[in-house]
Order: sequence, then structure tokens, then C-alpha cells
Amino acid sequence: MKTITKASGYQAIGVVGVLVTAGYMAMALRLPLGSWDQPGAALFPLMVAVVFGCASLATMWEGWSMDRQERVEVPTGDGLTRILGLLGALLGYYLLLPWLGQLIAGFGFCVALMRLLSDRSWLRVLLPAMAVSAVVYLVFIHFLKVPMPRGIVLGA
Amino acid sequence: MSSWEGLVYGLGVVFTFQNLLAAFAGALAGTAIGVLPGLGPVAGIAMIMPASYALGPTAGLVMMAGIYYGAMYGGSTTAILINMPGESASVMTAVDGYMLTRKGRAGAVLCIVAVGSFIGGTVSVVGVMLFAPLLAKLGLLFGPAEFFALIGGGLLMLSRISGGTFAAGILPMAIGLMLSTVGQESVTAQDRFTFGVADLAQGISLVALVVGVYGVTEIMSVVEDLANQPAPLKVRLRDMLPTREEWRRSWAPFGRGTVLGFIFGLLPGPSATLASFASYKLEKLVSRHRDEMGQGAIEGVAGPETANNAAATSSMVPLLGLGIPFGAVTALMLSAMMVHGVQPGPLLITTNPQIFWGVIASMYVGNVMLLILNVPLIGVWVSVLRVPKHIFLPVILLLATVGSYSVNNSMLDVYVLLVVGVVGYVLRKFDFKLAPLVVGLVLGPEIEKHMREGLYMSLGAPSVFWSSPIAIGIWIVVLLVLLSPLLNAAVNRARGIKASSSKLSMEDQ
Repeated sequence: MKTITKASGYQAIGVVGVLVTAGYMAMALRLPLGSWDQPGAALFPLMVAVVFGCASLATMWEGWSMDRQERVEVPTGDGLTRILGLLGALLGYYLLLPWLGQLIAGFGFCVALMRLLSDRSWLRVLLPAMAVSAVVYLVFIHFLKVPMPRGIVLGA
Repeated sequence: MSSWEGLVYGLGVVFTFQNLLAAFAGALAGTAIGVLPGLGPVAGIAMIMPASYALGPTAGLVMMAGIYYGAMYGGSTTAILINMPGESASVMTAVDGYMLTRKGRAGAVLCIVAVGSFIGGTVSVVGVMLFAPLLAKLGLLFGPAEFFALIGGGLLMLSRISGGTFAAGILPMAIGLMLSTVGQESVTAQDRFTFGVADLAQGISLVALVVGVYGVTEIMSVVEDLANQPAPLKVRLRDMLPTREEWRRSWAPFGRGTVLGFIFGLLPGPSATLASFASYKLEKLVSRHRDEMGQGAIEGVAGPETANNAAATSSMVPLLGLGIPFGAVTALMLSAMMVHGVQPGPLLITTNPQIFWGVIASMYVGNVMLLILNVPLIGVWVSVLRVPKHIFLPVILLLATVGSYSVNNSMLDVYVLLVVGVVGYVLRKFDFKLAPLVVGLVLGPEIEKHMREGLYMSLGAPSVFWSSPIAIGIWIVVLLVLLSPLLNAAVNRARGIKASSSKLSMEDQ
């Protein structure tokens, strides 16, 4: 397992935080500020921007002053493959959901994830994937009437 | 209405078919949620939240409370059987619980945990019943300035007490506050940070955020470390009975855990987790068998488990009494109340007594159900643990997606789920605390509302926020909590200087 220093992670997160603060504050300044007795929509976001900026600077400072011996494990090898596979499967599922609908997109997602997380063949994951996606579809969409996208096959 | 009359009224509310079913379903689902790795009480409640909207406010909240204390119990099952705490409040349980499992006492420990959880939860409900109405009366003295101090200060304290470094709590809190400003602003209907996306006008969905932060993040961690997931041991029903010695050693930790847990539940922060840690430390200090702690002492399980259930229950006091959530679960319950059009706050007890007393009474009923359910069903929960990960992880993710989508029927919420899951995974890797993020999102609009009300009413004088004795008192407590690490360091340094100077003077003599 590969490790990185916790300090470098804190510094990176702090830098991202400062950049986000700058963008957020710039957008907040475009909102109506109002007056003290009639505060506008910008006042609270500006306060939040100050808090967020301070928190980001505190994160960077802690990164600089932190013990360099503290390390964080980052995924490598099979662990990294599984995480990227999971994210890829989720992304594919969510992008296809409006087009294919819950039943088909959910089934495809189950097949992909079950194959990724087990050493079973594609054929052997088909049946459990079908069962899982069908049960979720029946319970939530059919019985509980959750209006999930039905896709082009089953109609909008 | 006195507390006892309120309880009788609440029992009348709970003993309807729908509310009893909600309590039963909540306790059952909560235990399953606690048992399954990849789902904690927060993500579990968030996923069930949309379904609870169909039930009505009382049944919905009864169900959510059931999930909370059910998950507290369920989380300990995995901690004891496979040394893998189902949620953070069971971390201490794993230390001695797993050692006892290796000695063949798993069944007996699970029985002690069930009884301890029942005692902690039930006794704590008495405290909730007595304290929440008192707090509600006190809350009637509060105006916008006091509420601003209590909510804003409470959020700052939560981020400080959550554990870890200063930044580990304050940065997620600030992210939560920032996300709370996205969407249409309530006073002037001004769109903020929506980038022209119509769906964003409703704001960031709490359900999507919570399920992403707690559910997807946890599943990513499980997937990353899939090879190191231990298999549970078999537990037979005949092994469930603790010995007389084990009972005798558990009564005092049950009592200490209950008191400690109740007190911790009233404070901002991850009260159940802090209570279990504090209880373990206390047992290590006062137990007659303290030398066995860490190697399989029943006190190390009985105390923390009682404490975390007592804290989970008493954390309802600030929610029901003042309408202020001090943790992620109670923040979700507050949000559910608002969705149902129920205004939380000190007036809840008079405007919606059926909710106030119904939820409290349901905790008595729910704790009895939990005890009846969990002792005989322990074999079932162990078999739930045996379901292969490649089956239940896709199921959880499908449910997470359906739950997130169903709140607003929006694909945006589903994308938020994924993005927040990744951000949460990174933050968790570096030990950032995620509860302040959720509470920040829920409390952000409340803080803004009270701030603006205070400024309107004082004709623009910011000093209104520190002019009343209550507000001043709250800010002093907040400052003390925030500065406590610095004060501690200063005291320790002064002691160090004093000790070294006295050592030097002795050497001189």
C-alpha cells in the first residue's frame, strides 16, 4: 500500500479551499448587499466566505506545522482498480439512467459492480443482478410509485 | 400538561397501528443498517427519509428515531463478531467485545449489549421526558439574537468537539454552510450560486448530501479494502446466556454508562461516540477488573454500549426542546419536521404535542421492541453479515440512488450524490470530520434567518447579538470551548515551567 504524508494532503486541501473561497466571494459580491437594517442576499454568503477562507488557511497552516511522520494510505493496485471501477460504474449508471430507465440502467450497473467485486464470470453474475434490479424496481417503482426515469424502452 | 400526563398522552399517540408499525419497522431497519458495513444510522435515515414523508410527521419521526437507536445496537454486532464497528459509536465495543468473541463468549456479550442498550435507552427517555419540556420553557425566553448565538455557537462548538484538529472540524462545517447558501434565498427570492441551473434553485438536497457523505464514502472504503473483510463466527442460541459472574460485573457499568451517556447526549457533537469513549475510560479508571480491560473484560462492552444508546436517546432533548440539532441524525429529523410543515422550536410542545410526546413515548416502546427483537434474532443478524459483499453493495447503491432521486425527482441530486461521495472519501482519508458538514447544511439557513431577523428588529445594530445576558452567556461558553486547547496548552506550559524551576532550585540547594 502506497502512503503519502498527511501534511501534503492538508496543504493541497487548503489550497483548493482558498481558490474556492475566492470564486465564492467573487460571486457573493455580485449579489445585493442591502444595508444593516435591511440586509440583502449577499450578507450571509460573505460571512460564510470569511469563515471558509479562515478554515482553508487553518488547514494549510496545520499542513505546514504537522508532523511529517503522519502518513495516509492511498489505494493502489487492486484496491485502486476497484474504486475506479465503482466510480466508473456509478457514473455510467447515472448518465444512462434518464435514457435507459431504472430497470435497464440499474441492471447494467449491478452486472458491472458484481463482476468487479467478485471473481464470478459475466454469466454467473447475470442472475443475481437480474434479481436485485428487478426487486428494487418492483418495490420502489411499481409498488411505492417512486417516479424514477422509465427510459425509452418502458416509456417516459 | 405535566411530564407524566404528557407521557400517557404520548403512549396514546404511539399505540395506533401505524405508529407501532413505524416504531417496529424503524427498530428492525435500524438494526439491519447498523449490522451492514457500508451503512450507518445517518445514511440509513437519509435513505428512508423520502419514504417517511408518506407516513405523516409523527409516524415518520417515530420511525427515524427507531432507526437511530436500532442502528446503535446493530453497529455493536459487527464490532463484537468481526471486530468491525458498524458505526463510530461502537469502536470501543470492538476492543473487548471481539476479544470475548475469541474466547467463545460472543453470544453472551451480545445478550449483555442488548440488555445494556435497553437500560441506557429506557432510563435516558425518562431524562428526555423531564428535561425537554423544561428546555422548551427556557427557549420561550429566546429571541433572534439568542437563537443566533445558540445555533451559530453550537455549530462552532460541534466542529471543535467532533475530534481531530481545529481544521478537521471547521473546514467541513464551512463547506456545509457554503452549500446551504446555494439556491433561492427565502426573503427576497434571489437566486444564489445556481449558475442558471433551474434545479439548483431548490438548493442542495440534504438526502443526496448525507447519503453521499456517509453511504457512498463508506462503500468506497469497503470496496478499497475488500480483501480484508473478516467472516463472522457462528453464534448458537444456547450460547446467548451470560454467566452469573458476567451479569454481576455488568450492572455497575450499565448504571455509569446510562448517566454518562445521558449527559453527553445533551452536548453538541457526536454524542454517542464521545459517550462510549468516555464510558470506556471511566471503566478503565474505576472498574475492579480494570487490569483485564483490552483483553476481554465485560465492563468494556457493557459500559460503552449502554452509554451510546443513552446518548442517542438524550440527543433528542435539544431537538425537541429548542428545535436545534446537535448532530447529523437529529439534523435530519429537524429537516423531516420542516418538510411536513412542522415548525420545530420551543413551541413544538404546545403546537404539536402529538409529535413531541409521541416521539418520546415511542422511545419506550421502541426500546422494548429492540430487546424482544434482538436477543432471539441474533442468528438472523449474523446471517445478514454472511451475505456476500458483491450482492449487498449494489443493493445499497441502488437504494441510495432511488432515495436521492425521489426527493425532488431530479437527476441533479443523483449527480450530487456521486460528487459528494468522492469529496467525502478524500476528506475522510485525511481524518476530516463529516458530521459538521451535514449540520452546517441544515443549520445554515436557520443562522441566516435569525441573523437577518435580529438586524431588522434592532434597526441595523449588530450589537444586538451580544447585548442580552443569555446571548452573552452562550458566547462565553462557546469561546471557552473554542479556546480550551490553547488554555490547556498554556496551563501545561506553566506547570512545566514551575516543575522545572522547582527542580532547578532543589538542585541548587
